Amino acid sequence: MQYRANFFFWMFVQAVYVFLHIYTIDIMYRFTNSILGWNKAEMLFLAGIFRVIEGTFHIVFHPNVLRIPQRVNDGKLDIYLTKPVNSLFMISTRYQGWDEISTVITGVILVMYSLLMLGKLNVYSLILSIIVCFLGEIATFSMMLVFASWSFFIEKMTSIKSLWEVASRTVRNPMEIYSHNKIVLEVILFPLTIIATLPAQIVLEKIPVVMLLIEVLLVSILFLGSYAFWKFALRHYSSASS
Amino acid sequence: MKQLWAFIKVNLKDALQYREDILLFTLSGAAQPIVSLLVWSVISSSTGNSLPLSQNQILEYFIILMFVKVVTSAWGGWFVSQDIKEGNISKLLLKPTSIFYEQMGNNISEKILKIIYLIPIVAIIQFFNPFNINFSLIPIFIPALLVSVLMMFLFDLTLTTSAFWLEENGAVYQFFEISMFFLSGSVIPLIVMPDLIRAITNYLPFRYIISFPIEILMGSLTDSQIVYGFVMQVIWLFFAICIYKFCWKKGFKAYSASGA
Repeated sequence: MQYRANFFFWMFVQAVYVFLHIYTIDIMYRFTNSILGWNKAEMLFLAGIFRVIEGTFHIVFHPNVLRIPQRVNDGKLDIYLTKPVNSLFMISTRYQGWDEISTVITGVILVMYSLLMLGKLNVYSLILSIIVCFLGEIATFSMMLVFASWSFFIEKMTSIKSLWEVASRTVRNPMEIYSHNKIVLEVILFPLTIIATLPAQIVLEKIPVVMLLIEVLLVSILFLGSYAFWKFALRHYSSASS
Repeated sequence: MKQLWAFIKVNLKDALQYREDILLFTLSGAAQPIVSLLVWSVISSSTGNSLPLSQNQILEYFIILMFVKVVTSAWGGWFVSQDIKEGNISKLLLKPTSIFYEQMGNNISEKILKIIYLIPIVAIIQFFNPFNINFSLIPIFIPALLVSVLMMFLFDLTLTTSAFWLEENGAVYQFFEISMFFLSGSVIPLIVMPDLIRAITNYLPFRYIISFPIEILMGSLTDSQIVYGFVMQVIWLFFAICIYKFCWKKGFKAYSASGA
């Protein structure tokens, strides 16, 4: 709240952005009723789910995880390593970016609106949506942690912000768009699928709800894998300050 | 000119030091057009003929877009904003050169490297999905692209000046970026936009930064449309120069160096 003018202007910008996002989807569906089996309301639902995930990521992790490379570079990571708590927890949650709360709010509105369009606005769908958003969030965090951990090996990685942009622009669309039913691509892109596409499919009943178990399993594997990589990378840390 | 050359050399050395980083920047810059390309190809294949662009044209559009975006992108403004806020800009004021040349040097040198990185990406796409570029249109494409580069560069450095008055100016950039995103043709080709929006984009600067050069190279404009486009480009470039000068002049008057 220190920079109030910027904050409200930011809210306004976010609102414009959501509007344009919906409008973009609207334009796409002027030429077709179904994009790879996704109709307009389902596409909006996916967009909404991803906004919630993205917004939460921006509030909780973006100001932290994406700064890891910088901290590795200037040696400020030391401070975190010497504290008697889990260093990953500490470095991932130190700062918050509350400006982005509008992203989450607009995401929730979008989710409700699209569920209403689909006639699925009920407690069951909403609870399921919250669960899958949580899972998607962990998957997103794990993915970005892997990228951030690279910074222990290469000299400068300020571009991690653009990597996040790429990832966020990619996963907001149904992943089928990229794989074209080619099995190789499906396998390569699978880690991204569990962030938003699979969660949306579960809530929209496009795939059996048992897939939720698979989703939980995959997210756990991804999280543990990224944590192991972080630990491994940490061993390569040579503080710049000492 | 000599100054500019010196800045290019210095920055090129700097850029070469961080080549992996710039490679990632280039890849991320290329990713958005590729995502859009895939999305629009899927739409095109599911509609048949109602889309005003053929499958091949979509491919061409986004490949050229990738190139145009890398060449026109400007990023210096954000750093200059930081310098203004922290008072570091005072240092530059004392030097016998201008921020304009310093940023231009940085911009050109990094772009050289980015274009080199872009070549293999385009080559791979060409290998899997051959596309044609009409080389006879390049003499018209280049001048349009140069004006685009200058316009984008000036707008970026003009937005920077908001840091003289606002302590936190991220939203100003974001607003410009969103407008660019939507109205320049970088996500949705302007030709598929509803008529009203297309009519509006004809008067705004965004189209003349991204879409206009692409339209020229794709051969989708008539001679009179090209002339009209150039006229608009020159008008907006003139506007960009004026507002750049005006904002910096006003900005320096408002400037009180922090820490001084």
